[in-house]
Amino acid sequence: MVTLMSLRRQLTALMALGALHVASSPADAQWSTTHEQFYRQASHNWQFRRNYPAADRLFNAFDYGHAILYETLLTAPAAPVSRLEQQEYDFITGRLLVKPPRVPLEESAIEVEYAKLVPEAKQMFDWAHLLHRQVYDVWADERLTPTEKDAEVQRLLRYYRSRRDVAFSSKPKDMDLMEGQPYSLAFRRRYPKFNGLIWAYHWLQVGLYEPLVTAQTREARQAGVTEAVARFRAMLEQPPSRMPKVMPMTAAIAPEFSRRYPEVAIIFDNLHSMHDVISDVLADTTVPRSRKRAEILVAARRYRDDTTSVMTVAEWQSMAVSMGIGQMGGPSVGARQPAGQPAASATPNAGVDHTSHAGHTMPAQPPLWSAELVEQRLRDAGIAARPLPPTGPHIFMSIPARSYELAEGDELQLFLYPDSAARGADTRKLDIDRVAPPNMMIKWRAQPSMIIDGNLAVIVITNDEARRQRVRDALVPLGGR
Amino acid sequence: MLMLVSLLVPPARAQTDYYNTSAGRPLRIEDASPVEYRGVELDLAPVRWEKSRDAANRWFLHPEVAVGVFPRTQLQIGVPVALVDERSSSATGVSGIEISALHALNAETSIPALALAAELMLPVGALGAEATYGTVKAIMTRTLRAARIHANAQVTLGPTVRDLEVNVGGLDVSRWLAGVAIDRTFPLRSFLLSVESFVEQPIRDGSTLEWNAGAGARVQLAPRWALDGGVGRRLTGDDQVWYVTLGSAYAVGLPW
Repeated sequence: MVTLMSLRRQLTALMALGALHVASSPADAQWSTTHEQFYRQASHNWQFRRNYPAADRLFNAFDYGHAILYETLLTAPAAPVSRLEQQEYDFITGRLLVKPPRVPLEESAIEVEYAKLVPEAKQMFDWAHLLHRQVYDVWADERLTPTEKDAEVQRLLRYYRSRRDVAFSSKPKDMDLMEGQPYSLAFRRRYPKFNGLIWAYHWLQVGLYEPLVTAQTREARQAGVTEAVARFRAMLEQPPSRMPKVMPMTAAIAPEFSRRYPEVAIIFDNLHSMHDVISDVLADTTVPRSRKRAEILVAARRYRDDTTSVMTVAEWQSMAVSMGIGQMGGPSVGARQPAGQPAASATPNAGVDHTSHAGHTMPAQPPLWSAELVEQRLRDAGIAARPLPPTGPHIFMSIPARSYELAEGDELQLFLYPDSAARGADTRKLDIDRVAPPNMMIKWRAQPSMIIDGNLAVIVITNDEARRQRVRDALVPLGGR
Repeated sequence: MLMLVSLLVPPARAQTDYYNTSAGRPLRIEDASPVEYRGVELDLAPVRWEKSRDAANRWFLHPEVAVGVFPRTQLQIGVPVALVDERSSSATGVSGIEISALHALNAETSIPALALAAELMLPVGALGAEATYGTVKAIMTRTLRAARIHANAQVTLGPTVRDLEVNVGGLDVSRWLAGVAIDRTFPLRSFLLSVESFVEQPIRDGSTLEWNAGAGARVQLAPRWALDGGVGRRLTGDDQVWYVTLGSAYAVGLPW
């Protein structure tokens, strides 16, 4: 009797402890029943680790990069940019990638709070990462013929899809999911170097498939994997100049693999795209902590279903080509295109608009805008403009923007060209009223407008018409003062 | 005396991932995570050694297999073997068959991870008990950035042992048990340090409460293979033993 009373007291105390903790937790606490599942048991398990240990260990280090990113964004939103851009970046590239962990890491032990925020999203990533690793295993297994490898990849795909609650759709999703949301681009604008690191990860993760699939001998596969790893490491030199400027797409980086297994390639692109989306949700300070779980779950559902923002496979392939493989870090095998160099289609068409100077008998140098002059004009007009960290290429302009944060989260994007001809080459292609190329749909966070003068183009993004007019007044043409 | 050996055998529950602890591997207090669905975990030779005040040595070999039979649910079977070496006698033999199940109720969010477990110890083997014992357990895990905290509470149904000739005391199958463990993870080394403290009421008639404390570690040696070890001390009660555990687990998946 005494023992039963003691037991009851113990259990009561335990439950009270649990209840107290629950009661003190955020009000959006959710009951989640997501679960882990073992990878498909097969003879090829861990063959990639066995045959390509150096590349395999890099993936263990990648686990840390993703995890510490999410944990930092979630738990230290007010931390200085240098926390990720310098401290973590230096640790990862200077130590972790130099001597990667010997086994896959337990990400829950690194992204503790993130894993509790959205265990469902974490399971989606874990499940897709298992598919990644198992496809490597199949193609690293020298005992299998290509036909057997194809069959085994199809089995892996079926096994992957058996988890409908966590499997990414194998329908390609358009860029609206990644770049057309209110929170879109928040991460890469604030953390361009770390974003480049993540994209370099994704480049290697899909790029490694290409030498495995295309090489005809064991030695050639070994050489191809070694070369891809070397290209990855080269991307990390002089960051972020050699890093991918846009999200690497499997169809571009690993075209033969994508042709052979389009559904698998699309799943990986959706996976990597959702990685970026979650980074944006976590980095966007306009999404309060209390709404981050809900936003991520909405995005996760969109990436799982076969209906939201779907495009055709042909459109997916076309998009991969049009974004430019050079922008994505270059091919993983074959002729090397300098990483980070813009694709031919994106090269500025400078020197076209010579007619703007027609009639000048003396080729006097026209006055040019500079960043300092723009900032001075804004200061003189009493407009607070805080420089934002540099970003990669603009979505439709040929040069990167210098971005400034105005009051209330509004933004000013400044483009400075060598001369007005270069500027004209860019702006002539735009529908100025919409501030977009005629055939491109862009969702702005607020109403955009464009100011053009000489070598300057400015995009003002605000819903405050008074503020827009003040900027216009501040940036009156150089000849107008 | 030897009939009680089965009740001495500490329950164990397989867990290959170094991060997720299980009863006996290395500590008594475990977390609320089952073996993942479709996972099979083999604990082929986990060993526990106990040294009591009266110089008795007890060795336990506890081979077992756990299978993730359903999402968030594992089923486990173990066949413990014991070697008891006392001043006047010694014996070796199977000390029962353990069949257990653990079901996780949820994944941890702002709500702690919760799980329920049930275990049957069947009276099988030369050193087995004379009756069947059933145990139910509630488990809670809370993960913080600095540490992971686990709380266990369990009660066992079955006859009270009244054999006054028994002098081993300190039975690991207790009438009830409650305790807490704290883990500290070193994720880049895939290494876990744990400490625990628990109190239990031995199932033997007339015994007093026993307080225990222990510390242990788990490390992931390879993707499929984890190693664990621990040391502990029964601080109060009739049988204040030191104990040491060493084990490893190997993981495969269901072949279909």
